[in-house]
Amino acid sequence: MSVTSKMHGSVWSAIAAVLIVGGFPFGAVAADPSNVQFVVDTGPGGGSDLFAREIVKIAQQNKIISDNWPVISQSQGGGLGAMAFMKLKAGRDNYVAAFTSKWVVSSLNVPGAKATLQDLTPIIQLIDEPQVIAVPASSPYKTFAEFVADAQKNPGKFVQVGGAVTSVDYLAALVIEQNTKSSWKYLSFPDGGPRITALLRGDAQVMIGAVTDFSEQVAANKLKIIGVLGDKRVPVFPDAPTLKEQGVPDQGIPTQLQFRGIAGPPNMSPEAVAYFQKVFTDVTRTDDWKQYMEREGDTTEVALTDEVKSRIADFTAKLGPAIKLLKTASE
Amino acid sequence: MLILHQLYDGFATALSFNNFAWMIGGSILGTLIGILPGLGNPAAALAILLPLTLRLEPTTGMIMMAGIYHGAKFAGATTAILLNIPTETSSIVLCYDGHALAKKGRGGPAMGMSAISGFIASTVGVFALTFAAPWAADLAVNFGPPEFAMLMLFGLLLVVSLTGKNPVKGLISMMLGLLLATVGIDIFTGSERYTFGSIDLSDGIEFLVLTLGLFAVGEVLVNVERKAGKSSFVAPKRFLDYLPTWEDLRQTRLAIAIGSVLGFVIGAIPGGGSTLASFVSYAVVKNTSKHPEAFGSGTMEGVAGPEAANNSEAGGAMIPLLSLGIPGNASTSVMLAALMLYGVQPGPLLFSTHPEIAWPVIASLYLGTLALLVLNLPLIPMWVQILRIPYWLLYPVILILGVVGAYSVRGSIFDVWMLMAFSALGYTLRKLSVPAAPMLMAFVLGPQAESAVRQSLMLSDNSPMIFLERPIALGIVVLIVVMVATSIISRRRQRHAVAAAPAAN
Repeated sequence: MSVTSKMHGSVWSAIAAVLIVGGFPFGAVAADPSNVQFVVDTGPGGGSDLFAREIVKIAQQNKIISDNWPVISQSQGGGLGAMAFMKLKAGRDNYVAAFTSKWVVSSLNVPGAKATLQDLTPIIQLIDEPQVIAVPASSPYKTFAEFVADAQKNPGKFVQVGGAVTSVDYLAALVIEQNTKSSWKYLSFPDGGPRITALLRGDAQVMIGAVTDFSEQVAANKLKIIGVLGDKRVPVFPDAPTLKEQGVPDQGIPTQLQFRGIAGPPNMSPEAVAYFQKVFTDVTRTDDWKQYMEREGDTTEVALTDEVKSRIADFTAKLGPAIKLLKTASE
Repeated sequence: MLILHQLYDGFATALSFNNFAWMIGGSILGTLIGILPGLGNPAAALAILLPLTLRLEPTTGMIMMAGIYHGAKFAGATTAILLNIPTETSSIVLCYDGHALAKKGRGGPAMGMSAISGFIASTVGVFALTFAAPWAADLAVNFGPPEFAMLMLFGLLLVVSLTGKNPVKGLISMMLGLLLATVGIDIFTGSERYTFGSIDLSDGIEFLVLTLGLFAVGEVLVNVERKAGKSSFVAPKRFLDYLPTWEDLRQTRLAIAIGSVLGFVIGAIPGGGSTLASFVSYAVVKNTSKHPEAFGSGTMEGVAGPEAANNSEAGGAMIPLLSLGIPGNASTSVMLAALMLYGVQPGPLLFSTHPEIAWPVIASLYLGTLALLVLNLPLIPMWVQILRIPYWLLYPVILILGVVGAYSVRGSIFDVWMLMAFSALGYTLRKLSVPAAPMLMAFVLGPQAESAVRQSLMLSDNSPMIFLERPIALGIVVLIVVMVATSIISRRRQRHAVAAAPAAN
């Protein structure tokens, strides 16, 4: 009896030892972040929400991650709410946020903002979203230069439709108006749908937006694209010339006007940053991602932390004056 | 006739065992989630279940979403009628007559009426969608800021007409609502209004927090003060007493017809939404009814009209989505998101490039209401038992649901503090006999009216003539003038009749 219980005892201790040693995550040192939450600045169906969900979907399908990353909406203030939320999670490793250039604009526009993008830890930039210029298919303008010429002759007559006055399409327009000494009106709608119908109806003559805003309407011959912001043509609309090619002075507009990337809370551990950089870079190497980029008409622009910081600084420097213009224009 | 053929194919696909099962599952899930305030509006329920629906095939996923949508809507009607808690903007109107009916012991028939009128309206909606889509799509494109402004003005005037016996109190309530609606950042100028530097207020006050405070928690406070111990619920004796009678159905024919048409047309306008649809329908049904004075104290027409509009609006909202790729309301926004995540880009070409998705979705919208009717009519007696729960148990549950609901909208504890403030406001309003519903309606319609007016004036260089120059806007203005004229004339007649009666004696 006592022999067997001693044996039992040693068997149990052996099992216990194995369990303890095996259970300890000696392999993954600081364990990969678990229970990751993906913060976005729009409600469901919005641009950042779709972006985040697409990334998670691609990552899951290609087995880059094995669990689900829920998407959390912090939609107050066009990025300000999300930034404040992330700042509160300082030091945590399991929160990531999808930022866009809108976050920079929002913080510049509201001087007392509690949190700005500079407070957070930029992890990686993923996309540059080219902005294109659309007009109704029946419009007389074949290039944006023609529109600008008409606007110079008729200041304040034409209408550009877009989102809030802090959106990059309005700021870019302000810069162009200043460069070319022309002016036109800006019609704001919070949702994308009424913007398109305003263009189709003729209430507005021009709209600046992302490729996906227009691609279906262009395919149905309801809209046409007459210009591209930046220095590269867009594969989806190969015949649309860039502003540089058209001779429209666009200095003062950052070359990457609408970018998307991922940021972490302040003081995120370098291991976590490296982990997320690997995950997202792996995502951009998949075929699913390439198809997604083609559908959206975006270009993959991968840049890591330091490069991202300098791009954000460049963007801030270039668009700061435009935002000041915005403030004086509204007063 | 190709359209009929495609519609038939759509039904055939939707009725496949797999799709049908997922649709029923979606309806049940949608109902369960829709009961909870905060998650209760269809868009939120859809967003929560989006990861689940995305795992399915596109057609099946969209069909399930249609089921969830209808489930959430039906649940919204349930809480509005039984508990006086609107979980979404479109069920506010149901709180008027629906809850009054429940207090009279006719809660079951009210719910049944909402399901049945919803089903009939859905049928109208699907047929209108099938045959009138091009016309409706045209309307959607041509409805611009001036038209919208006039429609909102119409809506606000209707709010005034519903203020009941004391118009001054109703107007006070409405003005408070407009004031609360201004809180936030103005999208036209980027300036902050009444935000007091707080980031939580920069996006404005959440509708649901206001509603829960005014209606749910406020009501609990009032009732607790009255120390109502026993439920005032009168239990119907037979199963059939839980359902609407043939007489009810006969009386509500016109209301259902009006609601169906209005709901579809307003639903087709991007930004129109079911709030406006249900509200305009209620007001028009009241103004065209033989017994307008009975509205507010529990009439079946007051339930049938708005619910019909609510349901045919779903069909209408599909038109801008499927034909222009433009979501008409928050729920279709989520469906649009789902389509894009499936890799399908909705646009003018969706019907021709992906008819295998478009038509089953339309068919499932219809089947969704049928499924709800079949599933929920027999369960109404069970739902109505909620009214039997003694207050000492029911009220803490409502309070918990209210707080959780307020928090869950934005994950913000600030909203919970706002809930407390609005509950106090709701209690005060009740004690002063100021109706809360005009405040809510003004809160919803006010910002849209302001945006639309400012956009219109911007387009016309500040000339108000734009509201008369555009045909649709002019049509609505004429409607407004007619409505005001008829109500003044009928008031005069009533006064003459009252004055003449003693003279005749």
